[in-house]
Amino acid sequence: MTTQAPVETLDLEDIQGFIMRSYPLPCARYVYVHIDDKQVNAARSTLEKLTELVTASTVWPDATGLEHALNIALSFKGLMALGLPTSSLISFPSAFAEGMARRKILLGDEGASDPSKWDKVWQDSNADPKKSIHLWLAVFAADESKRDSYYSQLAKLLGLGSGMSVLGFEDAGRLKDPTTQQYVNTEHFGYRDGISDVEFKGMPFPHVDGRGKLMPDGSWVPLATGEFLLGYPDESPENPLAPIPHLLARNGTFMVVRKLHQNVASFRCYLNEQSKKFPGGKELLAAKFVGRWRDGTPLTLSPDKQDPILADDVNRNNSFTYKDDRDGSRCPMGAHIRRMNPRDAMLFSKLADRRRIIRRGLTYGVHTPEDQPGNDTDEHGIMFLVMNSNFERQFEFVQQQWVHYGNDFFQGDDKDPLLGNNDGKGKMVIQGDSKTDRAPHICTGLPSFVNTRGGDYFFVPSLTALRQIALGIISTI
Amino acid sequence: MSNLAGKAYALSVLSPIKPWTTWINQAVLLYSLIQGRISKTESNLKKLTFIHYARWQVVYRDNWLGEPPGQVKYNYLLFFSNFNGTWDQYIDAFSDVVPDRLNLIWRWSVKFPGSVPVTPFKGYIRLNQYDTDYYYNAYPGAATTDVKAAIFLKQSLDKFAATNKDLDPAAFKLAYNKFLISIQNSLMSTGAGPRFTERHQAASELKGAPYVN
Repeated sequence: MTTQAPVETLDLEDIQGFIMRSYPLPCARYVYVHIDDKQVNAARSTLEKLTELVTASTVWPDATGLEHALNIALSFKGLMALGLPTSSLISFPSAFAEGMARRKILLGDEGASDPSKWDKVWQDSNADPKKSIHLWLAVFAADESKRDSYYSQLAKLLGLGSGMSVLGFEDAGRLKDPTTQQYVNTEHFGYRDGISDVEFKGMPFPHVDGRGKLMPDGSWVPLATGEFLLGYPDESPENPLAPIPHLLARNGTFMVVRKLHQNVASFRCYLNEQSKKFPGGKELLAAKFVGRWRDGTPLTLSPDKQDPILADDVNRNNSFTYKDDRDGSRCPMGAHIRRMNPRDAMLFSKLADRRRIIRRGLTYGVHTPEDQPGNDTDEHGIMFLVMNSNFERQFEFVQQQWVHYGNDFFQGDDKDPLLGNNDGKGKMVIQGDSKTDRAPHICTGLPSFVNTRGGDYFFVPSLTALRQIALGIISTI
Repeated sequence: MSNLAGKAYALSVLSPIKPWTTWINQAVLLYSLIQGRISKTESNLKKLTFIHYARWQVVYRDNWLGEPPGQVKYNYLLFFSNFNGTWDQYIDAFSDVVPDRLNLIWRWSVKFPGSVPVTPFKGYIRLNQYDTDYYYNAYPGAATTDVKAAIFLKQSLDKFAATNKDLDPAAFKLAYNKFLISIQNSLMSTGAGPRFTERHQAASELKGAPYVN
């Protein structure tokens, strides 16, 4: 069997804190920074100051009381601007060096999601070397005023003479009801988000069933650390492809930043119209798209009704398999969660273990109350973050083979009903049930409910690596 | 000129085997053939949608066309497979799911590194892989799963039409619902599928032909 080196404890003080889990902080500002490569010494010294402020994983396991947090990531161009030696630069994976826009064919970013239609800050970053996004800063805070005051401190660091300049930023945060100003706990389509999280070896949290990998005896154990952090054995087991020197890579990870615009009106309209033909009604149809009721209850565990107690129970709301749902009568074969994490849907759960991704996302824009039709044009969506140790094997594979294709689940070219680039021609078969003679229902004419509006691939270095980069002492010799 | 035709990938790997261990390799292949008929893993492997076909065959050094006897130093193990999806996905799946079986088959090949971890294994396959000069695919817009589903759908529909001609509307509705449930996982769309390059899209569109009966 496998001979994986045990990872008893991780260097929490070296690993950026947002990799482990989402902070209990509802507000965020993602800041896009350019580095002037003619002022590389100033930029390095600014990076050194920023590094001292970075929130490490030592805030866990219990981050309550945290008022604000800061995390940092660098694009490939950012590493170049900071003067990493070529011998180190060429050791980074090619997908990272290419960046997200150049991976558009693989990612299905075409039509309305094409990089030529992205937000100006991302288009400029791809087209104009003077406006490349080199550094990604994420400010998280307990409320908007704390975010603003913390950001203004940072903005001073990034001012004149810093060797850096702010190209723009994007605010995100949990949605609020516009009248009561209370948090609504869902994303723009009304689904509770962020239920499913991964568990890997060395995380400073108690074990939770359903987050790691499924063993042949039906138990759940944490995934190998190397699936998510560089410098540790992965599920193969081998150390993931990582840049040199080793200290630059170790305790770091790779991150996808993806701005996903949500077409709220298209979604609500489609759901209303289609549910007139769907015998189970609107809420069940919404649940069938995702594989969970909108409150988060998994359809596999509760196919007929929402179950708020189950939905809130972290020990149960992820602890399920598709062993008793092989034909998709509960959770459809092509539902969103079955594609994103197939568990044992492909008979061998090992086939899912190497395709897992850490997902962190916060909504942006204003919440549209459920009783309103909404619109497609306002700025609203999810600032989606994915962390993985290998873009190609994990994020890109899921996006290409499982979101935009479905042969592995007997779905042929049918795409993910929510995330798929469907362009009005999408189809989803909602399986019926042979036990009750409920007939299958076929949704046709699915539009694109979500469009990509920007994003790129980033490296999330360890604190050690950030200091080394800041000191200009990265060497492969 | 490409290993890809439509949604299918043709993989041909020739790895050298020392002549004096070839008989063991032959015995292993025979054992695998029998084992494959009875093992649950193998039967599940056959249910995976992305494997079209896989075969291992020993090619003896005296049987090389155009080579005089005595010229070829090694016997060779030919691994020939067609699959749908990516090369990486395919090799990953083999390494993840049946590592011991692969080791048993390939360990007689010269300098085989083992099927786990996967990177040296992939390196070995790449080094011994022969690219495809000519590859024809009758249904470029379909994977074998889609073709099998279409055949099943057609046969089921014909059978349903033949046996339910004389039902009254209420009984027909019931029978039709049961029929729909029986074919519900054979209704996938066909078409261009995932692309790896911009030209790949153009090529599969030219060849057109999503599967229609």
